[in-house]
Amino acid sequence: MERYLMRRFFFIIFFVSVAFLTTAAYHVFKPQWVLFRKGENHFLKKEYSKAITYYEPLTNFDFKKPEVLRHLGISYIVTGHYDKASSVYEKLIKIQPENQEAVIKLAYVYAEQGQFNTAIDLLKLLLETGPDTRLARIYLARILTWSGQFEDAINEYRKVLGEKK
Amino acid sequence: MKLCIDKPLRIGFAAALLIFTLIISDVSLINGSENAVNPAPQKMFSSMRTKGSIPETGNITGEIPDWMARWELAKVLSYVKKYDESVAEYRKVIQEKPAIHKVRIELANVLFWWGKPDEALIELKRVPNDAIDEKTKVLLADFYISQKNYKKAEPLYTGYLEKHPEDDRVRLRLAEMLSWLKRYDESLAEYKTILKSRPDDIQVRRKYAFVLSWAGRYPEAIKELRKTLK
Repeated sequence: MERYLMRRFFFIIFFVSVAFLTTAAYHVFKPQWVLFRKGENHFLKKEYSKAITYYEPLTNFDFKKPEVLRHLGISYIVTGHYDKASSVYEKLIKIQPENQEAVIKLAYVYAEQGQFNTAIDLLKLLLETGPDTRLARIYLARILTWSGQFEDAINEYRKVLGEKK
Repeated sequence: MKLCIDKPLRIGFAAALLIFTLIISDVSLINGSENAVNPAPQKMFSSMRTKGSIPETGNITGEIPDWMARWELAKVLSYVKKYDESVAEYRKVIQEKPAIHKVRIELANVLFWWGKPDEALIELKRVPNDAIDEKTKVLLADFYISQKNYKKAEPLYTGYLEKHPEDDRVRLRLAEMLSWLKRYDESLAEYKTILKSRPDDIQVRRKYAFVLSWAGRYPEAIKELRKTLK
């Protein structure tokens, strides 16, 4: 009986040690992944400022996960850091030129910075060169509205609703 | 004897000044006190930029339903004063989403701006009282004023001013209304509050002077009018 208990105790000690050592090794050899996971954790809880503190160092590492840039961009937008958000999306578009979502968000960020014409040109280019995405057109209509170009905005909204070609 | 001549002279002088000031200058820092005014495009930017539409967590990649796009279209149409089209779009949205009170309230606002207060009132009656926002209540009060229904307008103004004591534009409307009801002391108190925050507003001071004269307080009226002529 005593021997059985001893064996059980050693097994537990062994597994706890293995778990501890692997966790330590993970922190030592894969610090980027630790940062990423912590950043993700805060991002999912909508704790964007905290998420930024974990995502930002990852941009210095060669950490090839587009989610980092996507989520960092969103975190910057939500916390109002539009300058940083625009550079993140510009970087993301360089990596993934086909990423329409990134283009739309970049246009949105430009609009937030008051660069309406740049934002509008970007969205028009997206609509001309890529597939006619509804979301891009809605954002075009919104940004046209924000810039005071109401008639053009109305036209775009009508197109979104299929009432105008 | 001197006093007997002085008094009618003073009254005459005050009356002349009042008429004179009625004609000249309409310089006021508070404007738009008479009618319901379409706030667009000045206020458009903030009202359209709702944080809900911001790409928070992938929202931007998600669908924006037709009714929402139509709602935005209805707003923009109202900004360019295409009220008939705007109202038509609002009605389509309401047909699809009757439970969103905000749409109906906006429709009521557009109807007010369009000069159809009766229809606006019908729409507002369909909205629960606690769902009506403060600014719409003021609009409603303006409408009651236009109908000379001061009894209904007063609690709307006072309720609003309790929450927004800094809104001199609404306070001015209340002050004017009270003066029309010959409740001069209350009206003058409201004017005094406005003038405390806007001592240089000539037009408000002149209106204050009128009320003083209506209340028979001519010397004070003259004093206030003189201040506006410096």
